[in-house]
Amino acid sequence: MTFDATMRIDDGTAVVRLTGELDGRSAPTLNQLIADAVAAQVGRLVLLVHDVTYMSSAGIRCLVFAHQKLPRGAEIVLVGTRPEVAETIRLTGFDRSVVLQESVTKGPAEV
Amino acid sequence: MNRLDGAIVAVLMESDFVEPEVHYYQRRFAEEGARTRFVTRLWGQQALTFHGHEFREPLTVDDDLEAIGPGDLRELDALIVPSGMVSDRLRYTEDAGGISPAVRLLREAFATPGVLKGIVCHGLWLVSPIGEVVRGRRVTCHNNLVADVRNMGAVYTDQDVVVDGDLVTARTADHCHAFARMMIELMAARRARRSAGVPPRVAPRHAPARLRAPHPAPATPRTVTRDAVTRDAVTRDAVTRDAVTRDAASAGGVRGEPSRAEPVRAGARPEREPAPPAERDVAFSDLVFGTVTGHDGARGLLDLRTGDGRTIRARLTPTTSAEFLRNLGDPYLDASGHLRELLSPGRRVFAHGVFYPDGGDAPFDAKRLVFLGRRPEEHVFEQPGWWVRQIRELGRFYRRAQFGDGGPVDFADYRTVLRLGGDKTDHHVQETDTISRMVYGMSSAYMLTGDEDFLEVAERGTAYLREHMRFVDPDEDVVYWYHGVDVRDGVERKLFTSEFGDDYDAIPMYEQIYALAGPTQLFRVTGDPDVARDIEGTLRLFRKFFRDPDKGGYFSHIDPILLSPHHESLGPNRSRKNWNSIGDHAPAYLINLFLGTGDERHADMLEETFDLIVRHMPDDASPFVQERFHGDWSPDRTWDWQQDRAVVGHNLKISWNLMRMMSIRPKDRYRTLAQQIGRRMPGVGADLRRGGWYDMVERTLAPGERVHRFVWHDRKAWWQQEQAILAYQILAAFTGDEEFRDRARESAAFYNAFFLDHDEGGVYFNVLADGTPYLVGTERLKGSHSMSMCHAAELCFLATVYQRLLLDREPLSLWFRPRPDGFPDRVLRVAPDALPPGLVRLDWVEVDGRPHSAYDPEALTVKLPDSARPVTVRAHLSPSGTPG
Repeated sequence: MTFDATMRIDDGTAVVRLTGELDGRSAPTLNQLIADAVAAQVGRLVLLVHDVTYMSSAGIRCLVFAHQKLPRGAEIVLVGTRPEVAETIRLTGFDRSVVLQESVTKGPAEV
Repeated sequence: MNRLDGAIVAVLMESDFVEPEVHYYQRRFAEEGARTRFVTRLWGQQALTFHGHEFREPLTVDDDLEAIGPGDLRELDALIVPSGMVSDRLRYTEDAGGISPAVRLLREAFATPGVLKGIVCHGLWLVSPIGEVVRGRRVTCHNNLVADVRNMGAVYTDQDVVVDGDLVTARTADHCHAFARMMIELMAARRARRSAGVPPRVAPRHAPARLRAPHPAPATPRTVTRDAVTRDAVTRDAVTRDAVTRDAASAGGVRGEPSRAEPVRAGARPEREPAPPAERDVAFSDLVFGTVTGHDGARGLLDLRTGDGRTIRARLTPTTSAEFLRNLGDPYLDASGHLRELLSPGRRVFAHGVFYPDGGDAPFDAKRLVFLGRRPEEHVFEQPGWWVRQIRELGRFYRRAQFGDGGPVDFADYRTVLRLGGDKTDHHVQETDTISRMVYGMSSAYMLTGDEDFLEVAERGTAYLREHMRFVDPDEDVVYWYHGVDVRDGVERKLFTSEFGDDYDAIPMYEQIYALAGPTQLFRVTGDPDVARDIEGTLRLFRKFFRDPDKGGYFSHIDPILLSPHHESLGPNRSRKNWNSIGDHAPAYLINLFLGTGDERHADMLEETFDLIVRHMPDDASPFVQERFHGDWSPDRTWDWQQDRAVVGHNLKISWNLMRMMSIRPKDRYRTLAQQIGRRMPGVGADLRRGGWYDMVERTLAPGERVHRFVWHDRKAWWQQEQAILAYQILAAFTGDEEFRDRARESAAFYNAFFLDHDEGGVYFNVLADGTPYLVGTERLKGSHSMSMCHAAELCFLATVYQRLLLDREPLSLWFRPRPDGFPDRVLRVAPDALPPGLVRLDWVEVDGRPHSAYDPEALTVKLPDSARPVTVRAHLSPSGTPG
């Protein structure tokens, strides 16, 4: 599946919808979106990842870097993480800093 | 008389100049005595009249820039490219793609360091055909030009005025005032330096200190050098002080002290330098480290011969106190009652006191004397057990500061920043490096003392690092380490990239290297296979992402997303190599890893890094090594605080580690460079009059200078003393040279006399040139970035090894605690450092308190028994054979 990423920033929340394989080649695309979210200093970054079949370490590095750059207390939420992706996140130690959810519980429902 | 009398400032001119800016230069430079020359391309005319941008004001110029040859250029103090459209017009060439006369002049000016270059606003356009002159240099410019200057390779800096060596840039014509002021100060300082010898009315060195562009102060200290953010000029230079003594000495007899009287020996009269008259008439405090050459108890006079060959006559006053040098944890030992016996010729002593301008031939009142031992020739810090006691005290201090006295060791409580007394602040960051450094210190303390409390701290610290700071990257099959975590409010926030200004938004090699320091030292003790796997993963990171397969070596930074050393986000750290990324592997972890594993791959990497050091770092133009490089190994002399400057301790560290490498893969050129540095450094980096080693100096002397100028201050940092002690101990051991042995002794004397904090525990970060602790700002802290029990413990550990085994040829016991699954081949390697084969043998081994016979006395290895629990191994080493 080809990689695609779209983002909407609304009311202090950035919602990013990702599809396909987030690997080393596609990570810069995500990083650019995240840089925009950081520039907007959103308090919440929601990633809809149901359709992400693979997340490379480069992708996770984008998230970790975002977490450092977002305002203190900002939350990063991953919605619909597949088990193999969750395992990758655990290996990076980033599972302590991110919220993993089955489905969207608050914030804008769709992008 | 004006500061810039006789100075000439050339200002390039063309139409569409900005009138108020040009008027300002005309008036302002004239006020300082400088002449302003407007120069332009005259196209064969006698004169041309240009018009200003806003008011069409005419300005006639008759000075042809094409008539300015290289010789004339040197007459100029400064060349200014003003704002407006001047630069664009002067770029015009008849042949497309050629270089205009104005650009050629500018290029020659950049090749002439004596000419200060000033470029304002759109003036930087004139640089675009010759972008190489600003490549990697810090500049500012009009907002519209930011992309242009980046395309030229310059480092855009968001400030109104930026100074980068001999280049001053300003944002817009609106900043011409600040720009002109900076130009004036710099020109004045440069003229003063050029005419050194004729003392200027204004002390020249103070001016640039005020002017230095302010650097952002990092929240916590890095190395001493990086910490040098409190850049107040506190220096009074040695020349001035000497001059005062000389002046007073030549007035000998005036106050009734006959200068020929005993104890002054013939020929002992000091030779002094001339001084600026204004400095002659003050009293000032200072330190003298000297050998007693005479003592007249009845008259209270004492003659001291200093390391730089001068004799200073001191007066002992009724309020002079004396003490013996003491270790951490020792009580104050008064010596005031024994001065007659103690002040015997040949004895070395630190004397702190006050120089008076009217002191006759004894200008120095000694107020506090520190003796190095009770007997002549006794140096208490060479006693067996001195450094072992010191590391025990250090370990207790950090244990108490981080976790309380006897309570559980919980790294959730760990904080990087500790105050002077060891208490914590409201800074809630746990930096990977600082935990790792403490793990190094605690592991070393265990090896020397066998105290299991230290080992527990080291093991828990390593577990915490693996759990909280580690990033396992299965895609690339590498491991890397977070900069740290912020644990405020109980929430863990990963800090992925460095938070320090030097390395901001990047993953610096330096931090990854030091992340391994602690776990590697612990691995030597326990053989923990999980720790070994993390180390291997980090080494793969170095090979895969930091290593330069084309030109060799390791890049200093990679970007956090793609892990590339060439990513544009790295800015001035893009495609760079530095001393740390090449030279810090060996001392921080790699030699220890080789000692613990015996794996020849690590010796290969050591050889690679040392070959790079001897090939690229020595530089005929300076007694100091070159520390920073571009990717192709061409020197980078423009980087941030480094510029063309030397860190004294880095030079000593190279010398020390080259000598260690002589025991692993010896090469003549390692030994040659190590000794060369060892012989050169005292003359350029040490304080021979007071003892101790300086921090950071300019690599080369300007005309007229004899002393390498201190970059920030003349303070002395604890870790640089450490480098000197270890370098000269190992040089002395392997060459037998008494001069090296003396240097080691003097360095250890200064460190032990002035860095130990007897009141609060631990060691001080910096002391003033005279040994007084410098307790301001970040230099007041005990647990900062580089302090946290790393270098101070390394010194205790290795000074014990070198002093006992190599210099005194006395035995030494070490402790290990291998885990049941520790060391894949169940072989424990107990060599305390890289040592020449045959120099030390393993005499006996105990396992859990009982004699153990399965060991190899020559290879210094112990065959471990199978066990379900960790075992305690005590290895007793003793000297055999002869060094050198």
